[in-house]
Amino acid sequence: MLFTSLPFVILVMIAFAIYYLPMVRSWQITVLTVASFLFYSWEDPILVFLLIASILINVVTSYQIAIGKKSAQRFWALMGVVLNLALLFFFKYGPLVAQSLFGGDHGSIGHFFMSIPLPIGISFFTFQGISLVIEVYRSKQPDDPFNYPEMVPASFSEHLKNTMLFKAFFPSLVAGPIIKAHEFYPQIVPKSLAAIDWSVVFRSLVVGYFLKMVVADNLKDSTFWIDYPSFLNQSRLTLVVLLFGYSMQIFADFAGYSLIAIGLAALFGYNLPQNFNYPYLSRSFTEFWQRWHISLSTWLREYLYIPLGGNRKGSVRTYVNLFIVMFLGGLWHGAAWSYAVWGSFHGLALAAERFGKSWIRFPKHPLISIIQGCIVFSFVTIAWLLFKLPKFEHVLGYLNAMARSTAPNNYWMVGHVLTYSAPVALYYGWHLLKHRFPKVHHGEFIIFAILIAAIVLDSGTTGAFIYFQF
Amino acid sequence: MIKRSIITALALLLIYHFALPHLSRACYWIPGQQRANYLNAQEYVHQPIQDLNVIVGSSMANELSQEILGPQFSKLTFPAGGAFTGLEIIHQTGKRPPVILIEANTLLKEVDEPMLADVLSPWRRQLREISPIFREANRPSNFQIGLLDGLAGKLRKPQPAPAGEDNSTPPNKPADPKLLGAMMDVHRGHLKQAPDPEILAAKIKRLGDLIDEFTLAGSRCVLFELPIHSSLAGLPQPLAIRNAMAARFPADRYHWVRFDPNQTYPTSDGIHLTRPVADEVTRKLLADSRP
Repeated sequence: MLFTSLPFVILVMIAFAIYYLPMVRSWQITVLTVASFLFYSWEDPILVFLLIASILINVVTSYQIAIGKKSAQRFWALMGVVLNLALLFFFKYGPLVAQSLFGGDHGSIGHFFMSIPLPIGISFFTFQGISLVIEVYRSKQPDDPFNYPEMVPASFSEHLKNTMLFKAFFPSLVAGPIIKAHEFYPQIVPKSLAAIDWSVVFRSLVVGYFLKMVVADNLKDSTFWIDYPSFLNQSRLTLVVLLFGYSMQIFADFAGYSLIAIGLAALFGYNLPQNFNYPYLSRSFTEFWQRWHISLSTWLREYLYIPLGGNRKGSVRTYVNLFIVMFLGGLWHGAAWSYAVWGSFHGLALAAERFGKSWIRFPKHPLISIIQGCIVFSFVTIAWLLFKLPKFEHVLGYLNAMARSTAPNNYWMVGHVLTYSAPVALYYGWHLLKHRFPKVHHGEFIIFAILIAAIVLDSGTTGAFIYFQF
Repeated sequence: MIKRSIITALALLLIYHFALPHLSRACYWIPGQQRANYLNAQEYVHQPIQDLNVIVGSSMANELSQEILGPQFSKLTFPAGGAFTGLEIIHQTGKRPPVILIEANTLLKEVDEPMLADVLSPWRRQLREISPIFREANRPSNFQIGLLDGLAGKLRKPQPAPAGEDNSTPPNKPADPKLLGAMMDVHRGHLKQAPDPEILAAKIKRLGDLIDEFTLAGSRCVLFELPIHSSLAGLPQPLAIRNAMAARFPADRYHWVRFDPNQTYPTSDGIHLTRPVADEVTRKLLADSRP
């Protein structure tokens, strides 16, 4: 079910109306869980069984870690992580591996694996499950440095109920933000209508829907042409603008989704972590990953980078760790080698930047910051080509055409991309302005009114969220 | 803040509603294939004239000249789509055109369900009848891009197609050899795959049902297969569709317009006719579809 569809709006309205009824106050978790299962099973009901299997793995293993024998804690933690990863590997990477090993001919094992549909959101809810298992295990260690709150109650049924909500919570189920267990479990308490922060709900939903429906869904009509061999027929200027537009689209699509998720969660009394913090303002790759898909990068840092040794084992090991984390982070996005290349590119960039920082110190000057920002933005944008064009030779072909094409400019396409990229630039500009003048709030309602009018009058044709495929 | 924002948004919608008739149509620009598809479909659905002839098909039939077809023809030809989307629109609106020209090439294309849901949804149709600001043609951004066009004086290169036509791609002039080769490879890869017999049979059955329904209601359905590059025409997919169509819709019982298979038809990319040839094909289609 898409956040932009009518059935979804109806589902939210019904769930909201029931959720806050005084007589169902003690059933709030159940109401939200049922709504989440309906949301997830809308297109393909069979997927619910996979979600239930994933929930059960995490409920049983985390419960055993918390309540079971101390000597078996490590076993159950390991079991939880392995089973979670096995589920992800089977559905997400099984087809790629089987095809590589056995080919994709009709009747072959490779063909069988390739015919298994990729369950939507599996990467997101699997990572949440792993976070639960690891955090419960860490919290039970005597030298727990993380100081996690108590997440597993003594009652198994209560833990089952809580974990069903944690894993299936519909605002973040299919495309994040990835919530960590310690962020979510303490929030599972009765909610009241009076406690809703309407300002957060309104701002998040309006900006989120605007970014998705007006910016991303319209830009996709132009960036559709970043496709082989169509791009061979475009001019250098058009290709540059299209790539810029795709960079804006992918931001608007994913940041828009995350804001909608935050707004919806706030409607039901839950706080989701911020997932985007104006990433295209970054002056370094390190900063970019502190601002882009924050919930994934913090997950990778906490559960992969730090356990690998982080930056505590010398420079070379730090570079290797950065590369490994980004390579796996790339593969997390999809079972294709282009994603691995994309991750490796960012891994190398992070390692090179860290290496460079130990040698060169840039003076603090606005002009230098701008140049650094432009360089990071350009590299990040070029790397998005690997998301759009799955074949590496087509990526090279696109870059080659950007340098050598002699086709005439396609001005309507340029105008179209710039028209729908402008709101993203204004969104960043508004942020900078508010940063400079924090007390300026006059006339904000006019901006929101324009956004609402644009959603009503100028939404593009509905497109699936780009991150759904991950 | 929330209340003020909503009230101001409603005021903005009202202002646009009343300002729209006074804004020059010359300032509006319909960019892109997707929008042109929606605009075409909406214009047909909201068209008060009931007896317009219709041509249904894909981007291939979209190349046929509206100028030559004349105002009595409406084009429900959708780039990236196929004939079924147009046929379903006719079916679901209950309109019965005197003549329906049906392109057979892209029979396997699925119906564009999101577009049908958008243009045929009762409440949206009603809303678009109440105020034209909710129609594709009147989006504020069309005006904005048109305005940019006017100010820059440059955006109109290449010349746009008339409103409602795809003014982006495919190019209807011969492509350079490298591009043509790449496009031909893509089409060859696609067309060399024989269709699933069950899917093809289901499509043929649905087409037969629709043609029977329209014919009973008084429409004359005319079938045609647009010529494509000779090296592609004999590939498994077009061959399978051609044979299935010939078996279900024999020429002695159904009206066909045929194009000489021995003649060479220049294309821009292997499947889209170049402008002069498309014009020639349009004339023949028009002449041969008359009873």
